[in-house]
Amino acid sequence: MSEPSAQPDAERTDLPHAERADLIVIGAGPGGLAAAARAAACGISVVLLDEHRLPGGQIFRRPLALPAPAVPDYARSIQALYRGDAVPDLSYRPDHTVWAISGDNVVYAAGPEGTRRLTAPHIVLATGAYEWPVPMPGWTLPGVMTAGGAQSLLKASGRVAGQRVLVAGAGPLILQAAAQLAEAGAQVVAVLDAAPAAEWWASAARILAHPSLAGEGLSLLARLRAKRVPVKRGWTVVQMLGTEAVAGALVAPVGADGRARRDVGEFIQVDAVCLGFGLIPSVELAALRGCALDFAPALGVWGVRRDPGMATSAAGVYAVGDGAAVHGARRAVIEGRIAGLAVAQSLGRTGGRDAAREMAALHKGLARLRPLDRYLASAFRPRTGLLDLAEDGVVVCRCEDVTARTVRNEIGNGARTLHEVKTSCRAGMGNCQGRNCMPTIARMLAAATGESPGTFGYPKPRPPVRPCGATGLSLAPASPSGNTR
Amino acid sequence: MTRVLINGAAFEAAAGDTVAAALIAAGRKKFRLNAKGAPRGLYCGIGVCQECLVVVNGEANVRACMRAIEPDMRIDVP
Ligand SMILES: Cc1cc2nc3c(=O)[nH]c(=O)nc-3n(C[C@H](O)[C@H](O)[C@H](O)COP(=O)(O)OP(=O)(O)OC[C@H]3O[C@@H](n4cnc5c(N)ncnc54)[C@H](O)[C@@H]3O)c2cc1C
Ligand code: FES
Repeated sequence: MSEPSAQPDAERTDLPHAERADLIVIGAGPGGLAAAARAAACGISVVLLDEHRLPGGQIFRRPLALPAPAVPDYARSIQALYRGDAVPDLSYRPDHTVWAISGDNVVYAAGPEGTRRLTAPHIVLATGAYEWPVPMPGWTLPGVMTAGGAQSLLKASGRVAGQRVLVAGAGPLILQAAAQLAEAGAQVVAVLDAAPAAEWWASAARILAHPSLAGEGLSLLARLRAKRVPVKRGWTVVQMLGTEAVAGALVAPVGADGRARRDVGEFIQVDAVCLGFGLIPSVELAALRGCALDFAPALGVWGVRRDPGMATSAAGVYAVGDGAAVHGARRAVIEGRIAGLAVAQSLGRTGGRDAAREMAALHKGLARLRPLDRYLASAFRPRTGLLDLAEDGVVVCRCEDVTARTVRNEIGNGARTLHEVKTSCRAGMGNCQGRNCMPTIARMLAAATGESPGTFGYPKPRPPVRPCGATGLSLAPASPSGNTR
Repeated sequence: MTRVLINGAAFEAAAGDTVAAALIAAGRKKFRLNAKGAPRGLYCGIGVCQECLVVVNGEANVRACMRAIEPDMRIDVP
């Protein structure tokens, strides 16, 4: 799918040479660390780039000033890198934001000294996920944030986002966020899980039946009980109130049709609201590089198409972890190891070990995680009633301040693709490049046309896909091979 | 501790804090005003949404959730 380009990026003479390695890994979360560690163990030269200051990704965020704690058993293979040990053949570059990849695998990374170009025959994308934005009245007020964002703040700096905190959403992450916030001293007034009690207990039963997940699930519930955090199943938040910052929230039970029953809603006084309704893979670099994407209808999100060795449709490019499909950290570690090993195999440098056997064992490990995959897919699915909360006056595109009313008007006037909505009202043209609004707009188009949200494609990303600093853009790749789906 | 200047006033933040963490520790949730003057603050917390943009040492559009504080850093918020 690469567009032909006049001059490959790697051969540009107007710029300093691109630094070379055997493998570039983008993202130092569980997936990227596992890939980097596995490949480096085979003597493959690896550059590992991440925009954070410490390795570990979203789940293992930690304070800069303290030593790394031990990681859970399933992540043992990344412990050394997480701790910051020097690993032969591996160069870890924190504080480097990748903002473009050219069609010939030149990676553009903005760091403290400006943008560097790096190139390698193999690239592993391990970019992780971000939280599903759910537009509702008041959601742009300061003090309303994602549950994961509140957790990151807490894990990295010990700061709690508020004194009286409401946590709302669906799935396991809100329970974790609530437990951590309560243990850090916040008063968590409630955790609202939109899954009705019957669905919730059915999911819980499935997790409890799984030996390695049961312990984690039970201890989480015990931690919440110890802090007397009420968990209300089949409830959701429908509105946030405040002027300068959030001061209260309206919460309501979810009816049998999945819609929130505002008529029997209750008002709660809070100074922070943490929302977590699911995760969306960060596929923008994959899309920019020209990797084929697939829409997962059940989850309502785009993921990266891969073969069993984690190879994407683009030559030499692999994708692992939540940035390809949201399955959680356990799976990210295994996928990372698979990709690292696959790179070693393709270079013929598996270090004399029985790579085929190791690969088979890793795939068995993936199979064992299927109950967790199914649970996450069900918990994080886009719930029917959520789109209703995007009433006409609600801002859908936070960057360009475009309301649901404007988007619906454009659809009423005949806009039928994400691109048409974008050009007619600027939704998705702002700094975040539509990452926050396009999933909602696709659902609004789907609601209006009766088609699947996947029909409307993944909006073509343009470099810089992340901030590239003042001088970055002058280096922009000559041959970004955009994915037009 | 690391001293930063929030709208000119000294604040002792913890070494290693992000700009966002320092602002929240200082009791500030409002990080910027959007084009229509509406207040915005920390949202995704992981560098994706660009809602947390603040002015740091005169440099505009800095992601507060990603930038580390430095001694005597000037952070300007509405
Ligand atoms: C905010 C948040 C908090 C979460 N907290 C938890 C939790 O507490 N417990 C839990 O079980 N799960 C948590 N998750 C789920 C989490 O996504 C996975 O469980 C796990 O971290 C996935 O690992 P990963 O390696 O795929 O991605 P991640 O851990 O997300 O790592 C991806 C890394 O890539 C980096 N990156 C992305 N794009 C670029 C780029 N362009 N340039 C440079 N670097 C880049 C990111 O900075 C990040 O460090 C959280 C998710 C989010 C979004
Ligand atoms: S809060 Fe989203 S980018 Fe900082």
